[in-house]
Amino acid sequence: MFLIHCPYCGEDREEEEFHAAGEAHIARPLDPDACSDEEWGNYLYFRRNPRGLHRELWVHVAGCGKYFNIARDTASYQIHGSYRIGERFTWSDAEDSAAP
Amino acid sequence: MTTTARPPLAHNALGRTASAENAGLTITDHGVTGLLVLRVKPERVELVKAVETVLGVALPGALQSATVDLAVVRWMSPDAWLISLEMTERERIEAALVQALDGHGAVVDVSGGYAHIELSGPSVLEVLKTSTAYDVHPDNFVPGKVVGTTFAKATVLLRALGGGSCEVLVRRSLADYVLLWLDKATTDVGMRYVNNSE
Ligand SMILES: [Zn+2]
Repeated sequence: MFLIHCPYCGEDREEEEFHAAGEAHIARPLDPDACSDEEWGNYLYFRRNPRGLHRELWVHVAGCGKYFNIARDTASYQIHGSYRIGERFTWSDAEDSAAP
Repeated sequence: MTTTARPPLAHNALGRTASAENAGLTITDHGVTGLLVLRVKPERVELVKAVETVLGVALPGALQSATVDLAVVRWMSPDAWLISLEMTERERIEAALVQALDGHGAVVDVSGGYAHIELSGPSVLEVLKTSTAYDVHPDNFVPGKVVGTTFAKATVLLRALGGGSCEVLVRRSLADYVLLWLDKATTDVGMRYVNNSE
């Protein structure tokens, strides 16, 4: 169990209230009909799955029901920040070299 | 023809009948309450104003509720509020809200979709600590605060009331489960069930 900050409720809540929803910031191709099979396949199926710094999509299912992003270290589980959809997150300078 | 909605817990046949004096937990079942879910984007200031005129109160911010004679308005999400009111008022208010929104939002009548119960008595805090992942300490869970959280394995909307009491709104299909859970959670302190639905 760990605590997650919901940027909409504005509180730290138990992980139990949330669901993970995969990698964040995956842009849907603007013109799917013009995509090659490879481009479309990459969009649908392929994920970075890094060991270390990662940006993830989570949803506060038991609370406000909103999707938001979490910047998390997949090795240490440390959450560096959570931020709303449409917002940007930048790692601190020290972490920048390891960031995507 | 009028039909009377059957309260979600009307059929409950719990044997737990502690007397008023020694029940650690009293569950007051409000039966079927008028419930409307209002959805509107908070940045649409003119629509919010129109809605607030209908309700007679400002839409509460995150985790807050507002109580007026007509209704209790609970924040659910940045763009959704749950409004409880008398069953006799709900159609009139629903129509007024729909008109106020002018096609740019939603009002959904969810009356009967939830069990509306109130927990009171000396053991409420202990029972809540047993049941929910949320921090229900009185310093944090102050009267009027509304949180969507887990309750055993169910998802509920909790509202802190004065005097240590707590309102629980749970989807009808999970109401039985929550009642049985509460029954189990109070075997050592006693539980009293009060039907307040008439
Ligand atoms: Zn939330």
